[in-house]
Amino acid sequence: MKRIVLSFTITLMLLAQFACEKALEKTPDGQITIDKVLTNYDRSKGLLDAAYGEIYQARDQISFVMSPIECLTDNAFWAATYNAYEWHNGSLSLSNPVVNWPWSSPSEQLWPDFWRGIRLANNAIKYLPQSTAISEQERKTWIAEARVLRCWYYMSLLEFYGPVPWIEEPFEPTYTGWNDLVRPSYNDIASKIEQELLDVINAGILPNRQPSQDARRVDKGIAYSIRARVLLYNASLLNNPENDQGKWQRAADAAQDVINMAEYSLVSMQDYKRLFIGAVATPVTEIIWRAWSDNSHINNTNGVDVGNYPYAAINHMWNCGESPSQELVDCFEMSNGALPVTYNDAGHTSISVTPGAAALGYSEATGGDPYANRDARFYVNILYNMANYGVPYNCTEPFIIETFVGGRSGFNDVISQETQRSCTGYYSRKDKQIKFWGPGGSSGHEPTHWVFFRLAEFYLQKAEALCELGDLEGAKTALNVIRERALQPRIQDVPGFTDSKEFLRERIRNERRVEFCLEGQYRFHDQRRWKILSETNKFITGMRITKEADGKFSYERRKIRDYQSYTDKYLVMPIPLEDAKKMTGMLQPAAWQ
Amino acid sequence: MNNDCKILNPPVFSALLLLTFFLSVLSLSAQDAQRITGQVIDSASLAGVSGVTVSVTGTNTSTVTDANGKFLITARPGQTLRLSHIGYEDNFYIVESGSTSITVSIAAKSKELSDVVVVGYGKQKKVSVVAAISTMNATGLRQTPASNIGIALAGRLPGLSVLQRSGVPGGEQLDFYIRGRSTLNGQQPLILVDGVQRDFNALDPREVESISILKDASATAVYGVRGANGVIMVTTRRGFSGKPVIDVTVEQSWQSPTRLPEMTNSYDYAVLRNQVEIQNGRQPIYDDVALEHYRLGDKPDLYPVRNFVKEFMRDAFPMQRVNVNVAGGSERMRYFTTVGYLRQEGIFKTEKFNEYNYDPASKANRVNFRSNFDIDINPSLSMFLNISGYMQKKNDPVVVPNNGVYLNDVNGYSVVIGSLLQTPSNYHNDVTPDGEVLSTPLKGGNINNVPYGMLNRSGFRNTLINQVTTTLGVEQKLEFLTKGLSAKVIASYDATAINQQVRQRTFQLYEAKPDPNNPDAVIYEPTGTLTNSTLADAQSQSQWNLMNIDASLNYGRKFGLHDVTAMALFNRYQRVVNIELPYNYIGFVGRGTYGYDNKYLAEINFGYNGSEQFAPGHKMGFFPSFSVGWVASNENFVQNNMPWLSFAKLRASYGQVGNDNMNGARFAFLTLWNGSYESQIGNSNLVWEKANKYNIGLETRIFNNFSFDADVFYERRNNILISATGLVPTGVFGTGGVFTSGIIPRINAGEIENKGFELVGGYQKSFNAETRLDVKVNGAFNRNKVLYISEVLLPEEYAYRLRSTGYRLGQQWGYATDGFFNTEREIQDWPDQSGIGANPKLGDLKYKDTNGDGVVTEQDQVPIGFPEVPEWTFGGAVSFQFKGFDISMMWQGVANRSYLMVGQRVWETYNFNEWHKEAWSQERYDAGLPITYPRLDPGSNASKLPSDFWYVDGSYIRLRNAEIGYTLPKNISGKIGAKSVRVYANGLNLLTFDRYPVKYQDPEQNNELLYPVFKAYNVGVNVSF
Repeated sequence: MKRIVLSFTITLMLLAQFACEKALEKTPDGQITIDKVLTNYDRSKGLLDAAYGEIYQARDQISFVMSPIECLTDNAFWAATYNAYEWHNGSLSLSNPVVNWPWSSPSEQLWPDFWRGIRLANNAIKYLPQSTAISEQERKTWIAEARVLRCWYYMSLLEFYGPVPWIEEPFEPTYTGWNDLVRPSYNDIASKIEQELLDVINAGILPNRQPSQDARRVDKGIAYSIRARVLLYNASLLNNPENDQGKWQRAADAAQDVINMAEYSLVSMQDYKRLFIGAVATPVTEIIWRAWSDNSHINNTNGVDVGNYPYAAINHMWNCGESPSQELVDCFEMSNGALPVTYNDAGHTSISVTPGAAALGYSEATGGDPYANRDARFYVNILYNMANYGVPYNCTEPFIIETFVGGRSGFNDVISQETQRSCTGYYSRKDKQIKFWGPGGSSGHEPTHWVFFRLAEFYLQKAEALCELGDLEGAKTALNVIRERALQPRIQDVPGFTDSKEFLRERIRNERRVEFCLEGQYRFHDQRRWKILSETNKFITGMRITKEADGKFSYERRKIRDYQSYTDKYLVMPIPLEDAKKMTGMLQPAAWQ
Repeated sequence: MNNDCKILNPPVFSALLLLTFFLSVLSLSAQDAQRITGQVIDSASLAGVSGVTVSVTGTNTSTVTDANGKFLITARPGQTLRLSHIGYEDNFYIVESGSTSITVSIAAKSKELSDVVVVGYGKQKKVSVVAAISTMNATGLRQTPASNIGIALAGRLPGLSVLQRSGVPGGEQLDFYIRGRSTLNGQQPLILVDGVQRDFNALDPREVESISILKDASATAVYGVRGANGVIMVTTRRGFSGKPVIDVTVEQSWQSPTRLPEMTNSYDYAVLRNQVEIQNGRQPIYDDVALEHYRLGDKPDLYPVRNFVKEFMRDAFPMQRVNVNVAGGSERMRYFTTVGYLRQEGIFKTEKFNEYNYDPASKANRVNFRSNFDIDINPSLSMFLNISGYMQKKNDPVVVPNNGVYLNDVNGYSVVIGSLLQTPSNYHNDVTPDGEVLSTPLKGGNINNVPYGMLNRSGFRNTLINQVTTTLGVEQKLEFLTKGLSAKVIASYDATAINQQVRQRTFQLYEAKPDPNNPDAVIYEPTGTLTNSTLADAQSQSQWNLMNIDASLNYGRKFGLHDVTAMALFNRYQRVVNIELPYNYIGFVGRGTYGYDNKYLAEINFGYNGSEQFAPGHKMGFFPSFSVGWVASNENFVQNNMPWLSFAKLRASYGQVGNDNMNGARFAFLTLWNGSYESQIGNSNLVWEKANKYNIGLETRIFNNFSFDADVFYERRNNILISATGLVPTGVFGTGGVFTSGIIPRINAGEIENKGFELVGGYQKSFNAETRLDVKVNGAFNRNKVLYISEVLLPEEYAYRLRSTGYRLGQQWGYATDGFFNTEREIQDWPDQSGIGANPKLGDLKYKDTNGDGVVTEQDQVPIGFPEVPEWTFGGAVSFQFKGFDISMMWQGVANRSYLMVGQRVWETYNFNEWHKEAWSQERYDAGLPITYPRLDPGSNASKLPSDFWYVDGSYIRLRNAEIGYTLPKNISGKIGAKSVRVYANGLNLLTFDRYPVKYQDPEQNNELLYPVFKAYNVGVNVSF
């Protein structure tokens, strides 16, 4: 028996020397593991670049490919039965976020994209401290930037989906606490974001404003801006039903912090268009942050089809895309500060011209002209019947917009299909350029960059907050900064001025709608945070213009479509079903429960 | 390779061999001869056995025992006595110093008792096996005239499903499932040839001794992390002591497809095409004049009348096979050597292209060789050497569709078959009068891929495969340490090289147009972007090799009635495939068996092995199994009370086995970065999936003629590797999104159970020396159920809110149908189904609104039928011998299988088949004619969605093979100096019965464009010298 044991032992010892687990180690190859990231300068730097990479670069990227989010509001209409159509159909449901790419799998947008941004920022924050390939200065700066970026993604999530928990580390695949994740209160997460941003700001690592060659990178101005916007949402009715005045004060102070920055100032009305057109490397004093990728393809999917240019062969565009609504057009004051019309009926098809507007010749009677003597911003933002769009590239004759029925860019009555002609009688112009179009596909346009933050926002935020705080003088002062730049009379001087909180609130909101129309997400979120969705989003109208035999135009306001997208369910987007099911602690917004 | 682990390096391997030699030399130390008196006793009765030859091996000394089994002989210590007697197993005794009076037992050679079964890393007596193992001998292989021996396994081994998917010569595709499916990941069993993981498809049936499948944990635990899906073990033939036997076989077969699609003729095509146009409110394409010409076939240049399938596919194509093998040996050296040759042609008709003098014919030539040697170097040291391999040369047409993308043989042939199916019979000839490739019809759709051009004018491809496999084994008895101990080292090295030469060209397409000057004539004009080019050469090479080493210590000894064996083994395996990272495994294997009086058996097996698939610390796993057996027939009370029960054994096993296959994914534990983005999120906790297997078996022989075996099993597979989609909110996790989808971490969470049984019944009777009957039937059933795969519940509106959990693996889904819409009224009254297609028209399929919400949507889908992998498999073989004649046949079938009949072979997408004549039309409906197909509507439409209309019963039963043979009387065969001469004829897939609505494709295939599966008729002659 001893011999058996002995011989087995000897043999096992012999065999054991071969049994090392090292034989199972992975043979070296080209696959990159984290250690290869942390020892390589470009890859380490890439951690931060990746965090920047999830920021939407085109304003038609939110909501649906080519379809700007403006089309989900009462500012603009998108024909054809794509997502915007479904949105207004009332199709939004737990299993159908509508805001998706239906032919992709997964088709979900926004929610996963923002969370991915957070993951990538968290990756940078987690791994940059371990990198051996970067300098201390770079490490500090990049981590600070990643922290600000993380707040940007949180701000985006908050805007659409309401409060979500603060996650500071990239999730590991072994993480199992999904059901323990709960929604914080709005104020808690807003305060967390504020604190995070102030930490970064106060650490003094980031410059006040990045030099123009680094314009894409975040700085203190951007950090202050994110903080201000988050605090504005935090104070707004949707998230502040008890009207906590302290929240408004914080919002006002945060806006003031941005205004206080010496690096930024408003541009003159003469340069107003330069806010939306021009190279990213050419700084504009008013712009705090904007997308760094050229967004000029928006000319090809939203705006006027210049293919009807009568003097040269210019390519047709695919779709006129976002077409401003009559309601938006009605928001532009006359140059004397009067709003042009009041509605006589619930359907907005019968109007009375206000006295102030009549005084400047506003008329929708046959042969009249409703488009003269309006706010200067009207001519920057809106293309209307008989407007001069300018001269296409390499051409000499201007392109005159004809939105009347049968005109060159004439009215389209069919709303359920893609169309090159507007269904509202208007085209968007803000970030469009006729120079995008030229004969034979030639093009002489300048780049277009989507503006994330510009100083004007914070004057209007200050005005709104002070108004809510009852500081009407302060509110008027802040509001007038924007009005004066637009060459409009001070609010005290507009016809029908009443020195009341209600009047002021309405005009501040109107100012915001005009100043930021067709510019991104402002109207979408304003309709929600003010909880005016059910008043403003039930339908929209357009202007159907016919040219009479004598060459005069007659005007008919016409309802384009009834919307179902005004219910409380549309106030806060539901957490996509597939995720919600796996996080039982994350309750859906009230309207979805 | 790591410096610390050089086991596969030559120096270490040589050192191991040296060690073994050293050990053997120890036992050779010469001493003085001594006189030995002894007795030979029967191991069972313990009585002396007379007439036993006792010889000293390696010398001329021998003697014979007396009436009491006693003998006297002279031998030196260390020499070996060999005891041999007719009817008994040989036994050996090593003379020890001082042992002058010995008793040696020899065991009677009863057939059952002496049968040896190959088990994992060893052999066991069949009687003492307590694992679920099924074995077939090579006879069945030889009765099946197929180029791939895998085809011969179907129906022979209970619990094994074999589905032949395609019949490309030299490239057949076979799917094997042992006891069905139990996992979402790699399903295929581990396949071993002579104990090493190797491909067996190319083996010649005449070099194979037997094939076994290992089914339960007791049998497969030794394979640990690779054993969960079962094991197929192929054992090759070996030599024997005795005069050489030379065996020559020559076979000639004719193969033909079991099924071919039948497309409509020109006239029917035109009629149906007109029917489609009229139903859609358009003008008919073919006027009465054209229809009449198609019907008569009298003007083929303008109104072609063709049958593409027949014109491009051969009715029969030959296969030849020659095998010569020689086996024999001396006392100390035994050998088996063989050379086989196979020649096989393909189904497509091709023509030599004279311009470049090449032949695109599809054909394969293969030469197999094998030499298996067993050498007893001295009484305690033996070795064996297996050298085998094959060379295969395969010629194919290069198939280049019009998009110019080169295709390999499987995909290429699919495109050719697709083009044959989609080209209507009234299309033009293949070549212009000038010999250029002709395309595009005069009327109708747009045909892109021209079969003639793809087969004959795109060039040819030559694929050469060379494989050499070698195994060297050395076994040293370590009797000097303790009796019954031995050490064994087996090292294998295989090398495979594939060299493919592609000579490819493009061709100019011509189109036929009516001559504007003469409406009865055609002119030919070039079309398309490709032009006639010369042959361009390309070459690709790939190389695989494999190294495997098993080093083991074995112990086996009887102590009275106690029979003990033990084994400890170390294994190291490395496979290199081209430039991929090598695949590595290491493992320890252990086995202990205990038998008491051949009645009570117990066995413990374990594998402790590792896979590189997992993170450090998770690489090694322990896989134990326990089994017990009771040979009831050896109990006295059974023998006394149930004399009819000649053998009965009950056995039971439980064990855990693993599966490290991740569906092709490797190193899923690593988080990988693409630049600075995670491209794979690794889960460092990943481990293999675990199979908990339970098995109870019964083996019986009744009256020595009947046998009945049964196995019942239950298996629960957990830790199955799945994407964590059901547990992880992928959005919040941060790797989802439209532009960045796909890197969901994987987790070990899937759980699947599988249960079933296997029954085998047999009857054997030798009526007299010249008449014998053998019957063997088997049936196996398994059913699995997905217990958990982290599936997300669908919204409440769905009729069925789960699509996998609680269902069988591969459960198929679709709409429930309720006939056709026959009237407009029926369309109006039926729930709105426009959401899943266009507004329905007359003759479309009605889909049931199963959730009752008044509209038919995706929410109304229901589970339909069975999975594609069958639940029932059965086989039945009968053979009968009378005088020189022998006759046998084997039926094989499957049931509980559903098949989704879709695609070009079934649908009217491009062309019509005979089924379409019974499609819904107003005329047929009004006339009350049978309607078996929805309204003809080329292109995709709502009627073609997956539904119970297209899921058909996939059960089939087929006469897998049948054979009749005649062995010439000895006096005749003796005249040519032969020991035996047998002539025979056999066949493969001779009859097939299934329930497909149309017999367009072999029921085993799972895609309508796969290369056809064959039936074969074969004649052969086998001569032994």
